[in-house]
Amino acid sequence: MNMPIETSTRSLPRPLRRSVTTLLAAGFAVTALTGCSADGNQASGDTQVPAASAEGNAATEQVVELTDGWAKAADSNMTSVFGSLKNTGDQSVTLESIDAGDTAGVAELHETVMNDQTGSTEMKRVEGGFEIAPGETKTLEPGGDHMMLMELQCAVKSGTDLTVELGFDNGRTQQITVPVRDYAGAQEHYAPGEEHSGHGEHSEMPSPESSALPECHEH
Amino acid sequence: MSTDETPAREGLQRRSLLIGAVAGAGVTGIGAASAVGLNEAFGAAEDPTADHSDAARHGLQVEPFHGARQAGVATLPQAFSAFIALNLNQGASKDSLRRMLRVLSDDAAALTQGRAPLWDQEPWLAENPSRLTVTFGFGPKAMALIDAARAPEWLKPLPAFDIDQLQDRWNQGDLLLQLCCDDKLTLAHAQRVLLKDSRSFAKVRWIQDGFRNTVGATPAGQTMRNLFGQVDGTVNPYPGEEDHEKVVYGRDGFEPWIEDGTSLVLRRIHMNLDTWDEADTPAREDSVGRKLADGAPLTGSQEHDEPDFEAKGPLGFPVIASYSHIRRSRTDNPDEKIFRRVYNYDLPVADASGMSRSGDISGGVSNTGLIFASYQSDPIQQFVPIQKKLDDMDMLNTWTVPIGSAVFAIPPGCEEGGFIGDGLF
Repeated sequence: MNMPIETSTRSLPRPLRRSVTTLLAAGFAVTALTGCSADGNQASGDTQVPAASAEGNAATEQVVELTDGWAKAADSNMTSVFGSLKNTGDQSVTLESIDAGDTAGVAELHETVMNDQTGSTEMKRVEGGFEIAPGETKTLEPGGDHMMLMELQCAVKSGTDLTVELGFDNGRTQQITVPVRDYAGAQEHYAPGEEHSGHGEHSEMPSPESSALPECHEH
Repeated sequence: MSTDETPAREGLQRRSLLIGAVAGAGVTGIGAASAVGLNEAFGAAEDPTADHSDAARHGLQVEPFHGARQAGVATLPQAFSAFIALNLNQGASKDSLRRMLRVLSDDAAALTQGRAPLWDQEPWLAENPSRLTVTFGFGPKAMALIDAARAPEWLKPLPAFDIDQLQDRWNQGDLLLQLCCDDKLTLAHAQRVLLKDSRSFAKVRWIQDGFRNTVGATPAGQTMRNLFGQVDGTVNPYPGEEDHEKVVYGRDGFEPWIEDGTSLVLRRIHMNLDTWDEADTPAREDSVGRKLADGAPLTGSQEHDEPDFEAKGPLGFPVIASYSHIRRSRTDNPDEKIFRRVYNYDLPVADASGMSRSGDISGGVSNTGLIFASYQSDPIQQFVPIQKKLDDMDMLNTWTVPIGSAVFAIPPGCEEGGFIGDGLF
């Protein structure tokens, strides 16, 4: 059920490995996830198996358990990373930062909040990070809280894997590797027919023929 | 973790398990599907309201995705099909094709097993896989990008036939996605997901929608009928029959282009229902050599009786005419065999009236035909000789016109974590 938690920069796993065995366990997974936020629509997607669990000494460690991780493809500007982060430990942890290395100039944690003035949702940088209590899961998803990569330095292409590093309050870090897919949603300010401003760059669909930036290299 | 399980959640949980259980059974093939049908019949008779009716729900039946061979060839034909030809974008590379195949394989694997990919924005539409299969085929351009040296020699347009009136809009394509499913809604959703996946890599060249009888409409195992009303596909090396392996995968016969790979020849055949209407039953049966009522050869009493081509009528003429379809398609060369898995098409028309005439491929009040999907190890050695004979003479040509033609190399299946075609990269 878990997304592979990468502990080495070598031999990144295929994050989407699935099996009939996990399919049989999928029903159980549904139960396991019902405690966390509005995630019901992805019950059937929660079937990844650990493809390559901890191998050798950890360059980074597993602070949280990632499931359903993925990122939106983007040729330029910005993109988002999603997934469910479960605190399997007995101490509260706070996700404070993310680092996308050479891929993005800026990487932030964003939350989606209702603007009382306009009645629409907007996203903004989270102050203080996301605290995850023991046993709890923080869900990052389109239309909700998410990890934001800005000032992309290379094109994040569908069908590749993206590795980012999560930074936690106790100084620990954890690398996660997620599959990248084309996705038309995840446009927080999206209003059909309107010209986008600010975060409107979200809406650009990647196209190999109009790639503004060189393709990101997979690790 | 929630402790207040709602019935809905329990239901979902159960469904997942059932899908998994059926997946295991599906590996054993056609027998399993039939068994489920029987269970349903008995289950319904015992207690139509019982929860276990879910277990036999057709929508929960799955066909395996992973394995040595791709599903969708030997798979018991599903009710609906969409053959989708994609043209790769200019600038496509081996690397972009690899990424594309990985994305499509991942999502096809999930959807066929009743699971929505994480990025599926309508995940509920994936909950009834209904034996969905997604079969990948490579056209010449895809093979050239992957590994030109591995491209089979036959991967090119078929030789021209005199009867053809090919329209380029139905020809070839770089990459084929063959979707087959017992439920049209599930199929439409899977098609949408896979086309969204494809959008940054390729354009849609054509989509050929097809159908057969829906689940439960006809007795299991019954040969389908086409829209001429003919029993269509009586003689066919079905899975489990002696020569299926040789015909489709080249075992003990042709050299397969790749182990567990095959080829698809897809011919779009327009059927002129208007001129067919002008033929009465004796003429229709004479043209094919079979009885319309049950598909029995004119010399026999049951569909699967062996035709007697030597039998003569009272006037000394052969009972099965020399120009009949079954006589012309029959060959003494055991290599000239194909495995067909065909679908009907019947497109909506508008502002349509009158009758079309012989040889027309439009007009009248119907736009009808056959999506003739033929699988064989080697199209040149197996398909082409048969088609040549039919091209030379076949009374059925009076009412049928091939209007599209494509050839695809069908690569082997892939294992979990892999993608279709990965062995070629």
